[in-house]
Amino acid sequence: MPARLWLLLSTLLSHYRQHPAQAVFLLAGLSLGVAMLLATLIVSAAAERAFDEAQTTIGGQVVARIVPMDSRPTLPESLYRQLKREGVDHIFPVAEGHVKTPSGLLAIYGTDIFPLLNQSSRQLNAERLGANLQALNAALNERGTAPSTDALMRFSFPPYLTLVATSYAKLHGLSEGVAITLEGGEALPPVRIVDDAFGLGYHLFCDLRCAQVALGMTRSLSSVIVTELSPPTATRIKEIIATRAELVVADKNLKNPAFTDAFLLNLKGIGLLAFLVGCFLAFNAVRFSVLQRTPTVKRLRLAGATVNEVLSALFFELLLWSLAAAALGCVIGFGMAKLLLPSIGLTLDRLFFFENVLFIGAMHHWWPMALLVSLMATGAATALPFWQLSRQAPLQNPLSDNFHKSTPSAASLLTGLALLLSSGLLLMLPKTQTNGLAITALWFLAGACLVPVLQTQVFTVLSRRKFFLSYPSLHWMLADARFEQQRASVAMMAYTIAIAACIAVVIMVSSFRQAFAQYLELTLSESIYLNLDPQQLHPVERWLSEQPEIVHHYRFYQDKALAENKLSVVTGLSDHPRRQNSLTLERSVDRPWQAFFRREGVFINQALALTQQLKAGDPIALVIDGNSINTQVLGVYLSYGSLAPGFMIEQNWLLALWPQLFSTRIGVFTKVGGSGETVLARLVAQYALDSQHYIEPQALKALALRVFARTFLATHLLGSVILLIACGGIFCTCYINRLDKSRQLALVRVLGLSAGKVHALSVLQVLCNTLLAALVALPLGVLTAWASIHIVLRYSFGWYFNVLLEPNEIAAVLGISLSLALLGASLPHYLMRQQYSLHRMVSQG
Amino acid sequence: MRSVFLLVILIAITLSAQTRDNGAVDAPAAGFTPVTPGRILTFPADHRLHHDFQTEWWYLTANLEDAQGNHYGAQFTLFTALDDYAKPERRIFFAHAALSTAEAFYFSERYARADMGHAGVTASPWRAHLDHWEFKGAATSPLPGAVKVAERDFAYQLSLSDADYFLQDDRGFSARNTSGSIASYHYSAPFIQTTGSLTVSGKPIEVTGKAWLDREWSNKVMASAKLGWDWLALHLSDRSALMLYRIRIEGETRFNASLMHDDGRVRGLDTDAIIWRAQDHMEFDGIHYPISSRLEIPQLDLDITIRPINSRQYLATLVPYWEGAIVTSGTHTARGYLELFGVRE
Repeated sequence: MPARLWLLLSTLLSHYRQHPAQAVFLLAGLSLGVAMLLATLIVSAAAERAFDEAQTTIGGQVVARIVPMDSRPTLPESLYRQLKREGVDHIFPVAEGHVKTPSGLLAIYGTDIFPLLNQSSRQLNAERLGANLQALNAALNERGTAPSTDALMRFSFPPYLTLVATSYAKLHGLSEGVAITLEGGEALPPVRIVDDAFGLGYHLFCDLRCAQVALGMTRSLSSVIVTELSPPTATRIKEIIATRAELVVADKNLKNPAFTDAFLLNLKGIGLLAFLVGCFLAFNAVRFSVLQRTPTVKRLRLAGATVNEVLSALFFELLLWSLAAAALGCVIGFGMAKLLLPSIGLTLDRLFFFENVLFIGAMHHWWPMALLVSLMATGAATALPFWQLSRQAPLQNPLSDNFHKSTPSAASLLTGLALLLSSGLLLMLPKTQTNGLAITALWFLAGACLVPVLQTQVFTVLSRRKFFLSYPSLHWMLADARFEQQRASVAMMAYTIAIAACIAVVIMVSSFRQAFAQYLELTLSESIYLNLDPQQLHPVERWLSEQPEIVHHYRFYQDKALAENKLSVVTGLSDHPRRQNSLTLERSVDRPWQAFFRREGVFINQALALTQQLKAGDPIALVIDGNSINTQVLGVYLSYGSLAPGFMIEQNWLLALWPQLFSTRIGVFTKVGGSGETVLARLVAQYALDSQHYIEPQALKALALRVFARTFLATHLLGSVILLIACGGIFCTCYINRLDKSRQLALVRVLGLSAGKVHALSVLQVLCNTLLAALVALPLGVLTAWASIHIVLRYSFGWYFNVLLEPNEIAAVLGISLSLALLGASLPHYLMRQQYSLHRMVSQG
Repeated sequence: MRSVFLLVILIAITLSAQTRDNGAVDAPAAGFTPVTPGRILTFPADHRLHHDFQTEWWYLTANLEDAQGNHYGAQFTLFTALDDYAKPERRIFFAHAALSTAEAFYFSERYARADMGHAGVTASPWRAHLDHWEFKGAATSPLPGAVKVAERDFAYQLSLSDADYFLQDDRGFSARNTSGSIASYHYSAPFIQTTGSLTVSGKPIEVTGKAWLDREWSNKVMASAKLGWDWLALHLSDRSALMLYRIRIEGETRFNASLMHDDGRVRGLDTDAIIWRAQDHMEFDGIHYPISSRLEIPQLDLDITIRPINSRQYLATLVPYWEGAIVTSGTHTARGYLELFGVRE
């Protein structure tokens, strides 16, 4: 039995020796599908794990912060000392901020690490500690650098060390031992690159004193972080800090999971699409290998092979393909994930306040998943063709072609319409994340089903037009295209999905970019932000008033208040058009700004509106500094995924309600087109301001947008790979068509069509097909982007942004798609030009 | 685990590894004063922090008893180290505190650098502190004084009576090896009466007892990989106290014993005749510690068995060791402290 099976298997596999291209396409489709899905799964898993383990990072372990009161820029270091002397544990002094380097801003985080060595008998888990120490030692040694024997002292005292996570170092091109030069000419301590697993996050991590010098914060702190906080300790801290600082308990919800989850969901969606397209490609290749092996199987059946034996042999073939695709897909997927992780990690950190470095882990952990995905892909791609192949009757005409007999246009049409109907029904149901995803998937499948129907119908109608009878070659092309639809339909379905996915990605990224830019404008709308020492306030304000290029400056007041009995953030909004422009109202009452400055109501953010089910015109109860007021919601402003409830109130009204409210923060607007840099330079020189006294929003915005662009380059890359796979499918189809239609093409050549004309007609045929596919893909992509943004995002995370259609970008996607498809169609002709030369055909009779 | 904490631990361990690798150093680092015989210790000047020495520590142990006669032990140790005389901002402090009962053992360890200002030693009033742990004297001397430690699981506040200081060995110069190349200045106050309160698992307990203060400063980096000692401090009676130690440095063992009387007399004992043998061992982190032993000192007609009040008095600190309250039986019924550190024979 095994010998018979082996004979059958080797006979079936010998087909690929004669047609290696089919094997290549089959393996490419499967392994690329596996690789893409696996890469997105790896990235998602890394992000989820990083999120789970975020409590082990510097920022993630923080359960509370002691921060300056009244918007003062810093805390005196003496307060930290007092807390330590009074027995408050699990606190660490922090100096953090950004330093300017010639290549841009870098985040720096300084703390005193000595208190981390504190331990008590109850906290100690010696066994675990020992095991991890070994792992850390191994990790450091792997890099070929022995652990520094005096590292604690080198870290904590001059000349210091700058610890940098591997990913962060890669992103900024930092090398081991190199000192980072600051813009002012000073140098940071030499860089020591450590493994991402240490949880340093995206900072330059150094000693407190070192960071204080770099940030110009002599003997002062940005905050004191608290890593363990019991209610009695919180009370004790509040007693000690009294009115000098504020204890802010960390709310993990404010880590903006909406942005993070949205990002990862999109990534997974792209991965699934890629998987689907890969399966289509593999299916296409298998289908034609089955077609060509049908005579072989019939002969085998005639020779005595049973259906079960053929089926078993094909099952083994399926397993072989699965294993090969799993191996190749895992290597490619892991490589892609490794390439993408640093950028994605940095984006999650910078855009979504997600502080842990994404850690990829070992490749072998992903083998089982790769195998599973590969089995799914191979099963999906080969099950049906193999089943049909195994059922071949031995006495049937060996040249009969089951695939060509079927005319599933009606079935495809019905399926497509049924799917569209289902999506319509789902649209009427209450909208949820699952609902939105299901609608998107149904649209994709419906679009894929309708493409061959549309193409068949178009070619049928055209080929029946008498007009084309005057042009026999053209008529032949149209008639041929009509019959070729069944052969090309799978590739076209994949191609349609790929274009639609690319268009959806382009639209989503454009929209996301616009939303992000608006978010930056909202949060960083001013030309300069100042955070001054109290004694600097009045002189600086006087100075600002005298500067002709400054159109407006204001004190930034923000504190806690209650809105509908929910803790919220109240912000004062002064009456100036530039400040109003920085606020985007999603919904509002009529003439909202007039009402706002007449103190007839407040603006609330999306988070508050969502949690309290409030809309413009609703009454709202506020408690500001103990003063209760009942007013109305004048409008809801975009909060870009932030889950922190907040509202804006007319600034003078706020100060009337809260006379003691104090702020050392000043926002400065320069004239439109004017630069804040020159004003800032004069201000710094005049008042000897340190870097912690001011923020340049433009620099921060530029940094954020650079990070954004780099990250979404990865998304575009994924979309492009999907497109390439689909075009590979077209190439595969055309190549196999050429093989399959050799007799027909020979006849056409003998009848007088030149090779060039045959080629041109073939390309024209593909062009028509791809244009029709693009016609379906364009609305499909737009709808998908709309559904992802307005249904999935909104009902998953309570947040969405406006869909932005960028015609140029969409046109570029279409142009590239069509070009690639034509290239895919032309290549087979070029490769096989000798095979079908007139000379050869004549010589073959 | 992905944590900065572990990175720091790693660094600290490697730091201690450095001291092991270096071993003992004959000459102090540049700027520091060598430890030599003949230095006259003067007080209160020598109660202060010695900026010209690399290492310095205060060691206070107390044997305590509550109204029901239950025995407790308390330990407070403050260490300081400086590696570069020219850079005093590099000074670091670390402290250990422990509390023993018959059923439980609590310990804690704290670290700080001097330049952050939450650890240090001041001369007037005399005060040694790290965070909120504090050993405070009345004026310019540690005694009379008070020691205060509070942790989540345990706390103690002890008042310490005034007591005489005894200069150890050669007028305070205490050689740790035969050549004297490893030595420290050392004085002790073994006759401190103490009262105070302990808090164990939130329960306050009033106690009285005896405490013992040792104070040393040196310039030698202790090479813990090649170093070990057994150190015994016993209150033999109200009027005499026995200090006995056996130090092993790089294969050489130095045995020393002295008897101190409350009238100020100090008597060195002939160690050749002393028999100190382990009876029971207990293993912690792969090291067998002789927590129970028999001690025979013919000169004192002393033949006692030493037992801990709790055998699990192991401080699993960064540099771990066993140290705890003990009681004796035999010819003398005494209380005291035993410290077992480093390499064993």
